[in-house]
This record gives sequence, C-alpha cells and structure tokens, in this order.
Amino acid sequence: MAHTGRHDRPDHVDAGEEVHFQKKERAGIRAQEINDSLNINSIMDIMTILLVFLLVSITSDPWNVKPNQYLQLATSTVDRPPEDSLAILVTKRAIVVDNQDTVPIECLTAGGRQCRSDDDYRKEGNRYFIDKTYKEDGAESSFLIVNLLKKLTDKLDFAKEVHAGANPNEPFKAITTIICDRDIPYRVIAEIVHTAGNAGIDQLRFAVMRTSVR
Amino acid sequence: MARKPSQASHSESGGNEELNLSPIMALLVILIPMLLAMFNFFEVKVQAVAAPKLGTGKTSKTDPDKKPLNLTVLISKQGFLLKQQDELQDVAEKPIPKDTFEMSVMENGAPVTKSIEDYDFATLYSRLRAKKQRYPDETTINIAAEMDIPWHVIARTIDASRVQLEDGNFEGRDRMMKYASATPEMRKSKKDIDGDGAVTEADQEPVPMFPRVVFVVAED
Repeated sequence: MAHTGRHDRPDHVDAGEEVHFQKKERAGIRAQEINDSLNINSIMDIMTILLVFLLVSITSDPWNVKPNQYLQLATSTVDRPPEDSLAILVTKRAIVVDNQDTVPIECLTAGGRQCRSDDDYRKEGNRYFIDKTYKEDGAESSFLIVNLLKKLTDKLDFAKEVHAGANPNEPFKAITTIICDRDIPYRVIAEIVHTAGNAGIDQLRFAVMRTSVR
Repeated sequence: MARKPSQASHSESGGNEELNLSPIMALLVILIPMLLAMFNFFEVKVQAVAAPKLGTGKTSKTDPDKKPLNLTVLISKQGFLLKQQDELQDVAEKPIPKDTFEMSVMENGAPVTKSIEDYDFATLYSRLRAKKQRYPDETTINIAAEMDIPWHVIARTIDASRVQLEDGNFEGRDRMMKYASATPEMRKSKKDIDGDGAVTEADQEPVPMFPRVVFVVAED
C-alpha cells in the first residue's frame, strides 16, 4: 500500500491514547507538507523561463558586443535598434571586419612611447592612429585606408550576390554598422567612414550603449 | 512482456510514476550560467550618420530660392563653436567653452558629487533649440571635430542635437544636472511603435530636432 503520510488508527483506543494519536497525526501532516514544498517542478519552471529568455536575448543581438579593455562603447540616449548590416569593429588595437584584423591601429602613450601592455591601453591621453603605410599612396594626409577598402569591397560584392539570389526584386542596401571604442579619435573615424563611402556604402550606423542619462 | 494497447496505461503502479527531472535540472544548471556569461546587461543601439565630406556640408534643402542654413558644430579641445551660413547670421556666434560642473559620479560603488570639467552640452542644446525654433524646416546638422577629439564626445554631441527635450533652455550652475535627466518631447507617431498591429495614441516617438547628422572634415 502506498504510504499516505497518515498513521493508521487502531480499532479501539482510550482517551489518553486518542490525544497521543492526534499529535502523531498532526506531525505526519506537517511532514507531508514539507515534503510537498520541496517539489522540483517549480524550480524547473523558473529555469525553463530563464533559459528561453536568455536564448531569445542572445540570438536577437546581431553582434553580441563584449566590452573589454580594447573596446568600450560610447553611451547615448538614442533608441534606434540595430539592423542586419556589415559590422566594422574598431578596437584600440585594430579594425576588424568579418572576425579578421584588417588594419592595425597604432597607439602612443602621452609620453610618446608605443603602447605595449594592457596597462598602457588603460591610460588616458593615448594617441590612436593608422600608420601611413596602410593609406593610399602611403600619404599621411590621405583618408583612404587601402586594406579596409579591399576588404569592404569584397564583402559588399558577396553580399550583393547573395541578396540578388534571395530577393531579386528588392534593391540592395549597403549598410554598415561601426562598433567603435569610445576613445578612438575623429581622424580614424573619418578615415573609416570615408573608406566605407568609397567602397559603396551609403548608410552608416554607429553602435552605442544605451543609457537613460545624457 | 508485450501488452495490448488498451492495457498499456494500466501498469502495476497505476501510471503515477513521476518523471525523473534530475538530468534535465543538471543540464539547466550548466546552461543557465553559460548563457548568463554570454548575456549583455546593456542595450546596444545605433546612431545614423551620413558620410563625411571635405569642406563644409550641404543642407538637406534643395529649394534654390531658399538659403541653406548649413548649421555646423565645431568641436575643439576648448569647447564648441556654432557656425552657419554667413548670409543668415546676424551676429557672430559666441563659443561655448568647457565648464566645471557639479556631477554625480560612482566611486567605490557609491554616488559622489564631484566638480568635473566637461563640455557644456546643456548650453549647446539650448543654442541648437533656439536655431530650430528660428528655422523649423531645417533637419541637417554638420559635425566637425578636431582630429584628436574622441568618439564619446562626438556621440554625446549628436545626442544633444538629435531630439527636442521637454525643457527648451538650460541655464544656471546646475544646468548639466537638469540636462542629464531631461526627457525627450514625445509626439504621436505614424508608425506602429509598440508592435500591436495598429497605429494608436500609444505609439509615441521623440520630436526630432536635427535628425540628419553629417560628419564633415574641415579643409586645411
């Protein structure tokens, strides 16, 4: 017989035994209640909901940007959601397209020494720039980054082919999202944006971390 | 032993056996911390920017009879300077220098009020709002910066010019505090913002000020 948590009442009991029996019966019911409260199903429900929430959140983020010492996003109150686009990651060390370091970014400390350690990159007053050897004709004044131009042109050509096969009636939109470290100077940004324009990208987006305070 | 389908559910235990959930629990206990580590506890949004031009930018207006405002914010290490089409300028714009503000910052996990030198975004917003009131059809703003101005300053400048706030003018020593917590002015949108399948009063969007941002690079 399955155990019910209740004690079987004997056929004949006197008054003293009756009180003792009732106490045992109440204790049995309490034990049963404690046993019920440890039901694993409630925890399973919470964990399943949490799992679904986390999976949806992670898959809806197209880039899943992880901040580190080389990439800290600028903050903004803008509320425009990210779109599916070609991402250009600009960290303190390199311009990354398609998970490949395309152009290195040079870093000089305030004392004019080249940044080597992680501590150097954390310091304020560093100067970040792209070496002239990566620019058009090796000219310091040029805004065109040759390696980046080639990489973007290749990626765009491929994206156009894929788009033409999948949606032949819709015009192709060349959109890029620049995920840029907060300390990258305007010169480097202008060079990247100018190069993107030369590659045929006409719509630019800058990724920022949303805050409620301006 | 094989049973008839009609007897399949009438096992000796009466079909009351509970499913063993321990392996699933073990899986979830591993999966959830892993996903939490991948999860970003901040929202990534995007700012739209037009491509830079050499020289000063053009305005969005195409009407040949109308003079373009050509409003430009120049960001330097000293502060901001507003420029516009000379023919539309009555008096020269005063620069907006950096200032020292009382700001609430986090130090060792607790908010502390400190005096910090920063760009005067509150005054920049007030000046831009006045321009918008004078030229309500203008939607383009050019942003030019000295070459070593970091991106986070430019992003905050775009923030100051993008939408109209409920408070139109920020003055006084606590102007940056007021500006920091100001909320955007909202209006009924023509789009289905809340995604309920219909455009209703609940679909609200911020009132734009200069939504078209153009990066410009000043020629030497």
